[in-house]
Amino acid sequence: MMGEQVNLAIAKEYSAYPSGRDERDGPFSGKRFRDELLYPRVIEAFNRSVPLVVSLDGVMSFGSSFLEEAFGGLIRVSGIDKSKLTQTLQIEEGRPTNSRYKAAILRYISEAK
Amino acid sequence: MKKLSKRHRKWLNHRCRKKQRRVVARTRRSHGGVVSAWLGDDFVNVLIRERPRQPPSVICFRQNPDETLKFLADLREGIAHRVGSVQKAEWIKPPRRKHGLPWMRTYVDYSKIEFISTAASVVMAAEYDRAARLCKKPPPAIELHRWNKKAFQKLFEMGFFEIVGLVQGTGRTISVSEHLKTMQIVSGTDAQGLEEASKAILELSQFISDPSPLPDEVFVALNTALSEALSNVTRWAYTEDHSFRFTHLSRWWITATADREKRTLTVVLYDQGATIPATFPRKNLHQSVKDFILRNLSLTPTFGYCDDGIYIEGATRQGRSATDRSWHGKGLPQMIDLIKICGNGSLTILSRGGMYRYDHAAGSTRESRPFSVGGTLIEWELHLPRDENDG
Repeated sequence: MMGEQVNLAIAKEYSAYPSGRDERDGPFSGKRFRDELLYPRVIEAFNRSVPLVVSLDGVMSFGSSFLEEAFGGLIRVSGIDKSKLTQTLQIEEGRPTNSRYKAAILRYISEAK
Repeated sequence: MKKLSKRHRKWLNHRCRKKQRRVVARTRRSHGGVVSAWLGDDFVNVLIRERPRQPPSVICFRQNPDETLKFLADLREGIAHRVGSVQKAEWIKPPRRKHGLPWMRTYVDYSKIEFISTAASVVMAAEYDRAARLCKKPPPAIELHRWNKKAFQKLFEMGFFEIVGLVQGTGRTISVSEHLKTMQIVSGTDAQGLEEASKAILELSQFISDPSPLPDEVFVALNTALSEALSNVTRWAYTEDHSFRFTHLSRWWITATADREKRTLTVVLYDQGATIPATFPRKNLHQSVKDFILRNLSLTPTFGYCDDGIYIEGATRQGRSATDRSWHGKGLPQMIDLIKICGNGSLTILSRGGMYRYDHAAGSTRESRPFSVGGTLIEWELHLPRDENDG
């Protein structure tokens, strides 16, 4: 099963309290998350033609600055193809109340240009 | 003229000196006289040369907004005046005469305060934090024994004396008294304090009832709102292209209080930055926001900050931010979302002279006042549901 998808658990691999847009906002910013974890996993998923599953389980804050910079920034800054990303990315909510943040991530990706 | 006898001369001299002493004593009484000053390590007697300044008895943005804002504005001016000069930066001056007392020109008589709100305490702590850091010495606490017990307790529990450097940090983050539990003021420069504040807030909510009455969804929304607010401070509050009237520390201050009786959780964040009305530009706004502002601006401004409330409300309406980049500016709406998710409570934003409040039951209100809060203050007040077995 492990070989059929690429996983990224934000709380376990990065921080349960990610916050802000870039390094000025603190050590767990969206830019750092995108550059160090999200972008390499996206590329890995593209190369292996498998889904990228990003887990929101255990994350305690979903600031729009963080989410937009991390996920919207994939399109805006890193130049990832939007349609290819939406086909590859799967968001695992973790808890049902995280559905609003999953929706926000998908919105930031669709609005990014 | 009859020559005075030696005894008579002595008696007249004595009477003259006695009269002089009475005048000095009367002057000291009316001007302040000798007071006791706590310097952090010891009490010293200090001579006060001018009448002490009187704060309002109620310092609260809701109950007594005009006097509270004026008092804080005066305090800010006084500190700025002191910071501008090396000589004035000394809180207590050395004695002018041998065997004389050290002296101060005046002080704020905090014994007159009967009530101080959480939000106002944070602003006051931030002002004294700025003073202590810029003067490199903590300001003395004058006549501590005469302070109102409740006001003193409030400031003590909030860590006011630690913030200003009069007491060594005890490492405690939470204080309890009767039906209130208070998180000591946490201060920082970026979003790194979020985790610490979040854990303390969760502990506060468990004080209201255990297990916590704070639903998971509301707790995450609260962290999210706080995260956005901190991010806004680090990115926009201390922007370099703004000309600041007062020297700033590029910091924020957070505190929180849980009230078991009222079942409320109050979280307050304050910064001394450029403020929303000053930075929210008059251009690059969404057309609907531009229309809203133009529709509501005063035709004949009656005082300096009379339209500040309108600018804050405009900023909350703008899904976009001060920049015209569409990916920015979701922060203020997320702060309001918290109240919507909680379903009962209010968000209050004071920025410069403006006040905007979103109350889940009453909707939005705004007002403006002639005195600035000296930055931006955000207060969330969440009303948590009662336990089923509470009756």
